[in-house]
Amino acid sequence: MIHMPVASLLALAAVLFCIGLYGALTKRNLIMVLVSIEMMLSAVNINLVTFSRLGAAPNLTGQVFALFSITVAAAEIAVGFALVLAFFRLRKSTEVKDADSQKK
Amino acid sequence: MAFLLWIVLFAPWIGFLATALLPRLSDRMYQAIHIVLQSVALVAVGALWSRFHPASSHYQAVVRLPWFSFPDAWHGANLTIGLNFGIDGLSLGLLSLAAVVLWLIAVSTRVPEGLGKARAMWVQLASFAVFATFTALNIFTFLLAIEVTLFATFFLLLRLSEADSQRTAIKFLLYRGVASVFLIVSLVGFAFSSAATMAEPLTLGYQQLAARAQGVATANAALSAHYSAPQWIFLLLLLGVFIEEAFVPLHNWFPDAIKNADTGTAMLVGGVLTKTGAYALLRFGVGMMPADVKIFTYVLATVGIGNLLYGAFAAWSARDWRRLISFSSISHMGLVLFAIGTMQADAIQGAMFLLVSSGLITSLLLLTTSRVKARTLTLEWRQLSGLAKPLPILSGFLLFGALATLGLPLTSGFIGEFQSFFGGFAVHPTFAFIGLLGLILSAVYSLTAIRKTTFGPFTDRAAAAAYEDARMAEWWPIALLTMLVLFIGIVPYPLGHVFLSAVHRLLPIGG
Amino acid sequence: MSLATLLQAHLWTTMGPLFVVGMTAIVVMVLELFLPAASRKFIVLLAALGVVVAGVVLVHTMSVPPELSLDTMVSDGLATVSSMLLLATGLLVLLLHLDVNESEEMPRESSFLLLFALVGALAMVTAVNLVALYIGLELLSVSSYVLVALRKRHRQASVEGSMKYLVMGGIGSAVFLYGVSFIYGLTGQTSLYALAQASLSLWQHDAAIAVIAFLLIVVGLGIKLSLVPFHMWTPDAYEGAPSSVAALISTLSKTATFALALRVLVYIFNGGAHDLFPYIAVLAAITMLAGNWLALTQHNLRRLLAFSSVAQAGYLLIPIALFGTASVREWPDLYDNLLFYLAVYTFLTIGAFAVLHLLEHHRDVTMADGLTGFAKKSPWLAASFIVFLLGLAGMPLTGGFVGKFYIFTSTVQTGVLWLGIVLFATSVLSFFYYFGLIRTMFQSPLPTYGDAAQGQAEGRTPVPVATGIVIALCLFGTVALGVVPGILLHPLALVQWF
Repeated sequence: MIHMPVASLLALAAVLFCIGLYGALTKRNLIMVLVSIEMMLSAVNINLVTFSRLGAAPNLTGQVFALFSITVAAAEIAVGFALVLAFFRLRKSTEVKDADSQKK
Repeated sequence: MAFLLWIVLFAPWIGFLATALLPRLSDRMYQAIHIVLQSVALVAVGALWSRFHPASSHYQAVVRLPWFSFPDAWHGANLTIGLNFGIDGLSLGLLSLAAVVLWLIAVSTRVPEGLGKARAMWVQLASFAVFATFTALNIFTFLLAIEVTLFATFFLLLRLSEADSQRTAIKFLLYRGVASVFLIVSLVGFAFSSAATMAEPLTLGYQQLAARAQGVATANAALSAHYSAPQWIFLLLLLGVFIEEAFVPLHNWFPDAIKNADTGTAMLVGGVLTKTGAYALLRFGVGMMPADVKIFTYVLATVGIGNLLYGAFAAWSARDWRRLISFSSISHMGLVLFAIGTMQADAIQGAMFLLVSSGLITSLLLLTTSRVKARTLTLEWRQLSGLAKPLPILSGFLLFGALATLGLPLTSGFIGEFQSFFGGFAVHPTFAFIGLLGLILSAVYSLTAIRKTTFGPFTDRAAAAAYEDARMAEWWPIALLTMLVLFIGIVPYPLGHVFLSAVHRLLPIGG
Repeated sequence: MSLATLLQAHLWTTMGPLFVVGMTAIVVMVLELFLPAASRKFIVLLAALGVVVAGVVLVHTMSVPPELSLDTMVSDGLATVSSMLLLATGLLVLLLHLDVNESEEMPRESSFLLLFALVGALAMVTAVNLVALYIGLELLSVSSYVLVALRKRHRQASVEGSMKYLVMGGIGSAVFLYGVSFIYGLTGQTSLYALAQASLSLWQHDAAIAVIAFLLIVVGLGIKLSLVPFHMWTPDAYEGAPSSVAALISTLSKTATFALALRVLVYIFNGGAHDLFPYIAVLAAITMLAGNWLALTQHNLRRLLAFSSVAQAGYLLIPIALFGTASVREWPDLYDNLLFYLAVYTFLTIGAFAVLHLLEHHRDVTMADGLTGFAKKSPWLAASFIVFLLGLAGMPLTGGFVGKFYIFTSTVQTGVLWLGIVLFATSVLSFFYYFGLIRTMFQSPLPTYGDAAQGQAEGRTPVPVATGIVIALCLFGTVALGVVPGILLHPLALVQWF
């Protein structure tokens, strides 16, 4: 069995998570925001799979959890893109700054 | 005797419900219901006097309405919450003041056009709440009554005020709302802390809490030590009291309310509501946290005398009657605070006298000036002058009110002031000496006001000729108040006797 | 899994209501697809019937001792009581939806989404496994995102509100899940019971990672609960959503998420990390202060209610924050506090949104100054709105006062009095806007030429039957819990919570 460095896998997930969070909060395009959220969820999946194999008490639950997480994320993003589409039909734009019809 | 207290409390409550639920009566009908039920309450309070035993050391006429209980509130025991009412000397005195003032509001003040329902409804709710405040026997009932008073009066100010109703009402609500928060936190904190310290069951009842504070064993507790509350609890109480009594610099709501409110609401606020703060200080401060009152006696003396002087100066610089009345009331309450702070039996009895007297005199002045204003359309001094000629009766009452304000012997104010200073000189001679300056000032401001309005040449002769002096229907309530003020001043014994019993209950043994 | 195993008794004990509501949801979904638009009333009523049946099933399971099935679903006190509250909430929201559905011209496929949201919420309160909890949370959230976007009359605001809700909600889920993944990594467990056992060793070995996990979980749930400073989506989502959906996301998802937060935080962290709970207390204080403060400046009624619900979330967070200092003997009290105030809050909020729906639909009122003259024109409706506002402000004789007082006694008892002071102090701040609304209702409308006659003719706001029933029920609940709170307090005290 190849020795897997757990620290670097976690670091990868952390970096991915941070990039995702940063993107979700700062990106100006709605599609990019949704992609950023996907990145955060991918970071979670990497974490879960890593722990499932190399955690303190390795077992299969983590992989099952990751499968669930992927499915749910797909549903969420599907709704997200449907909303982007609806928004685009209304405003002919996918920019965050155009979502300004509500009072601040 | 308990049924009398039932009547006192539930006459206005029934009036409130009837007024709220009966649709579309004429304003007169609403007022008729209001007057009848308020009179019933007044008569019942009168009957309470005849049955009251000053010598008894228990609360009398006890009414208990069990309500609900918080399960497992304290070490697995339930905390039963009930509405308990009863009277001792202090309650009876202030209850009578409230009953008289609220009855006068019902019978003698004008109902604004088309607002008969609103007025009858909220005044009766307020009067239920005020009666409940003074007769509550546990902390929960007291706090509930304070909150109900708060929003009933808010609606009165909102609907009936003569000017600037929204700002006045919201200001009143916020100031007194904050005060009620301080009271809630401090009183509930007190109950929990006393239960924790004494390892006794949690209770909200006055009797048990006071017994713990004085180390007296009651039926369900065997005490050998006495409980003294942490200082922050007392400080919070004090802050609440300061706002309720409109002490500088937390007084801002009060002159506004008096100035803008209609006469009835102004009488309610000035004559009764400012007394609830002092009542709380007597009941909880003196009765349950005596050690703290002694520790903070200099704070009380400073704030008290400060307000006495500030109120007097502000009243002196006032330009109209309503403002003068509000600041003279603040000034009187300053003296009350000073007297309570001394923890002397004499002074505390004096403070109780002052409360009743200040409530009556404030109502008297408000009522008289409202009659004047109905004619002159203003209460500003630069537009009033020489009223004595066209309006001799009203001017006479105004003069009497002013003399009573400055505490002339034979009026009710004198006894209170004399006793307060008598006790005050024994403990804080310096403060008392400075306070005397306030008394001199009170003579200055009230007589200045009289000189400016009733004496001197009349500015507008043509208008003056049109003024009609008050008829019997208008002046009899004022005359009644005058007689009450004189009666208490000349025959202080009945009220004093009742108050003395309260003083002995409140002050710990040997205090 | 065959039908026979599905109907095994112990599964029904824990998941009965879940099955019933889920099956109703599927039936309703199919019917909505095939039946003509004219029968939408019937469909909503069918959905409501499903919820009632689920309630009956739930009542039946209450006589059975608590069970744990599949190592995932549980029928303990918290699950049963919260499910009861959720089903009641669902029923009220569906009744309100009956009228909203027509007046907002919502697309037909809305009732089944409400039911799926309810299924998610039920899963959140009955599950004791992190995977199942997450599925429930997402089922509720995703259904809510779609529901918010369905308001046809204000299309753009609706889609934008939904978009913001989805983005913030998505971030919230991801953050929560990231925290959960660390918990799994440190213990290899996802069952809360196993985690409660492992809790102490968690803190001895890897305290730093456990703290990070705690913070991530709190932030994730904070976004879902709209705690300050994670509340940004709330006013937009509330403003965009149809009234019944706004009522749903402010009550149903709050109840479910608070129950979930209680379970997750207490089971996983309370064993070894009481010292982290004061941070939750700080969060509660900030939420109460900022929520009430932000509501002060609002003139739009929905945004005002949104910020008020942010503030209420702060009050509701207090019992959870108190777990840090409470002894185990005092735990049931905190459960009582939370569930009692949640029940009160549910009645108050749904009632307020029902009145608001009528105002918006029949009088086109969205701003606070549109309320002028409301008290004169529709006295009964105005009176019920006033009761709901007084309840939210915590005035006596409404459940709001008893609820706040009850929470306050717990703060005193557990020695976190400062939080109780903040609770009451911020309540006074809230007087300003609640009473401001009441004040506006009593003002007479400004006389404007032409409009004046029309305003007179407009007269009383009509109240459709279903909305009338919702308002009456909420009114009854509010006043009953204020006047005879014993009817709920004592049953709650008997519940075996965990």
